[in-house]
Amino acid sequence: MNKLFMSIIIVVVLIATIILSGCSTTPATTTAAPTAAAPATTAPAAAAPAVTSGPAKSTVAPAPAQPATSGQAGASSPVSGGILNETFIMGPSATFGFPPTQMSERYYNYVFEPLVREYYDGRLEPLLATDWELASDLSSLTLTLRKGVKFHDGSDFNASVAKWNLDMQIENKKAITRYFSSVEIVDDYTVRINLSKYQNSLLGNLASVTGLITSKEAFEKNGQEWCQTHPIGTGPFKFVSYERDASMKWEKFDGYWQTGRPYLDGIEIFYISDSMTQQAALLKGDVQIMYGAGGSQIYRDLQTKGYNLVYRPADCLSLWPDSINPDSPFAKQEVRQALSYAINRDALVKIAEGGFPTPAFQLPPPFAKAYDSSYAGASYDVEKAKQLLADAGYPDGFKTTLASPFTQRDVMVAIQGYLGKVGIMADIDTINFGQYMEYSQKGWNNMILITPLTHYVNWASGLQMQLSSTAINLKSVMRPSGFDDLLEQALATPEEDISKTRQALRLIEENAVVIPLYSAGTMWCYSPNVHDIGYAELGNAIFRTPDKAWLSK
Amino acid sequence: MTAYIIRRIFQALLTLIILTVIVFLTMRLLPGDPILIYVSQQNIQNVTQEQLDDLRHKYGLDKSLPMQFVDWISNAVRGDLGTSITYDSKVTDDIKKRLPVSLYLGALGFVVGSIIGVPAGIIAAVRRGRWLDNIITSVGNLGMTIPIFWLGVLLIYVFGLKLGVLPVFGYTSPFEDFGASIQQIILPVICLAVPAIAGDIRLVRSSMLEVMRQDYIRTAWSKGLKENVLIVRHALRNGVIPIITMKGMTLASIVGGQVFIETIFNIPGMGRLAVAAVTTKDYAEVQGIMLVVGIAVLLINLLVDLSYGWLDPRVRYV
Repeated sequence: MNKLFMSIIIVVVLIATIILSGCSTTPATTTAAPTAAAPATTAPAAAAPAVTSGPAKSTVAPAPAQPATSGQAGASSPVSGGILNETFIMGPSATFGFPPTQMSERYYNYVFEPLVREYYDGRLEPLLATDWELASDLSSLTLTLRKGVKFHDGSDFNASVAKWNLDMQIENKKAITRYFSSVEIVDDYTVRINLSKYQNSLLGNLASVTGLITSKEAFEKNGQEWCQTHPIGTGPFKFVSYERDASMKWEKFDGYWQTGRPYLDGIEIFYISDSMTQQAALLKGDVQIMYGAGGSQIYRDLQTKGYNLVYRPADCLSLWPDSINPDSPFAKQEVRQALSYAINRDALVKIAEGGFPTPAFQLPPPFAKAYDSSYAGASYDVEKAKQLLADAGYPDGFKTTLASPFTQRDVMVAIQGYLGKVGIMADIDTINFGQYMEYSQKGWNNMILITPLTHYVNWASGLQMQLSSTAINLKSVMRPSGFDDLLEQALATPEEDISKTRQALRLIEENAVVIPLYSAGTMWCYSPNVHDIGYAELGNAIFRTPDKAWLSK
Repeated sequence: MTAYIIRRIFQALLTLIILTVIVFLTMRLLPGDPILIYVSQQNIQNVTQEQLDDLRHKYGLDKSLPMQFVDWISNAVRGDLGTSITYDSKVTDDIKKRLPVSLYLGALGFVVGSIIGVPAGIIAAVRRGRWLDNIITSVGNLGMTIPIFWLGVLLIYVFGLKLGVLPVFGYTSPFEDFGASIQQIILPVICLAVPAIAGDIRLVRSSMLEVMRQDYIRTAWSKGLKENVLIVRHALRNGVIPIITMKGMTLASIVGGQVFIETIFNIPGMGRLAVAAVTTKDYAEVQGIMLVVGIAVLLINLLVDLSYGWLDPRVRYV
């Protein structure tokens, strides 16, 4: 009898444990999507941490010539010393140390510097180039280079090195060098890029990976293979070591051309793929910066504990139906437009990425020059969506598939629900990255691919890179007639012709070959004692200003 | 015995070949093109077909499948497991770096689990029905039910955050900094050891109970043999074979790494390497890792089978 009683008790406890462990522990969030200046709720730090949902207001001064002060206490002026520890979810995917062969690497600007620095609003700041002049006939760009700049290996930066770097980029067929016909040395500190065709994204591109300068001497001495894992630049920090899936270390470069900088003694990045462990490392103080690929409730929790958040919109998550396939329902414009009216974006952002994204009715975010405040886009209207489907010959809807490797499951289920309300019955296919690449570059059939379109400072350039007829991705997306021409026109003038860019955007948005959903981004969460790291200030969402960063006590 | 060993080695070679063929074909059947994944990760927006063809040629992917397999296997027997598409590094070098990490972690977990689990199982069997048995059995059952990743997070919270006595992540080689290495490995080893202890308790207890019921044990008791002599010299020796079998399987799994533990504690081991390789369809990396794991499993299984003969003289090999 005792044994029977004990057995019953054990069974009841086990069942209760299973039931309780299956219950959700995530508290329901009732907070609205953040505004640009959302006040902190329980901020113990003196400076109330807030979430910046757009790019942070730039506090950057022009290229400094004055030595920075150091050793001063207090949060208002930079203090020298300290190692800044960061965490990110993954390390470089391949050889990472040689800009001519590596396209994108988020920690490049610790080691390398570009010729110019570009901010999110398109402002340019001299960096390794102190001045530039575009020929009146747009046939060349002449760059005056900064004197007195040394590489980490002690070699000098000059016109010969700059030319060699640009030639290597051309040799490696970087897309943005396709109109570089040659690079010539004018004098020891002046180079001229001769152009077969001018595009006004040129200087912005030189601010990106293409304009990063590496040591020619190191390449000649050690070869490309060595350089690919031993970055040598002019940046404020020298590369020390890299342990794949573990960490990357840099130390202060004492010969840095900005006297008195950098303030930090070094930087170390730990590649921690688990977000809970990242959070624990931040809370323990083992790291001061936590970088995530998107927002989540974790960041809101950290904000309440006094950590600063910067959320920088980096792309626009969008629906991409296969509009090019004549047998697909999405070949009809009305069907695609119906998708846009069927989605309640304002509600969708409340469940996406911790509520940090903002609804998007057009592709550019509000802070972009290409954003058109007079364009409202398609608002949520179920009846209109149904009418459009009926007009297209689908009064009872149809079946399709939603596929994405990037999108939260909750968001996909919500989209499925919205489409279901208008009669479009969508299966969800959470594909892996390999499958996604296959679809994107070889095409998909009767399916909606959900994928982000990256934000660019120069939207015409960004659209051309990602969506022109020659782009290798998004093969099943129809490019409306005139789209490529509008982009070419927008890029042909000395400054971006915003009206043409907007026309190109309207062409694809009103044709509904792309349906913007929300502006998603990257999130940085950092301790209150980290200053001037430059998150969200630069044009490239992953770049920052490590030369200015400092730690207060 | 020699004939048995030779026969087993031939069987192992055949198994390895079948394993490599299955892995080779499966990876290529999975959707996704590793070159396209590589291109996307490099954020290359306008790569030409010529560049794609160059990349395929660089990694031998422009050859027919049989030729790719023959090339890979012929290089593998010479110790060259190919080049990783994702990292452009030699697979052999990657495994050389990661395998010692996984072995260090796994071996410590194995040893700690065995040192605690086996004696605990014996005690539970010998003190069957008493309070000690109840406690040990309950602990064993609890250990079986706790998910490793949850345990890892809990340990990080308690020892890393609340008490602040141990680091929450990281790995340092014991040859670089022994003190830091030990501090960092404690929590991961506990995570590995807990389910091992739980499994040992259950298996050792049931195996020992089976043996303790035998007539010769009763005879030994009645002859007045001391308890510890009886357990070690008679009971354990007879009950150890199923334990050895399980230990062999556990040892073999060490080589493949522990992806949950490595992910939570940020340890660069074989588990994470394998998962990343599968995700990016890095053919050479996956094939290389599976080959190494396969060899380890087959070798360990052979050693376990041979140990039966040493432990139990009644076992004969034909």
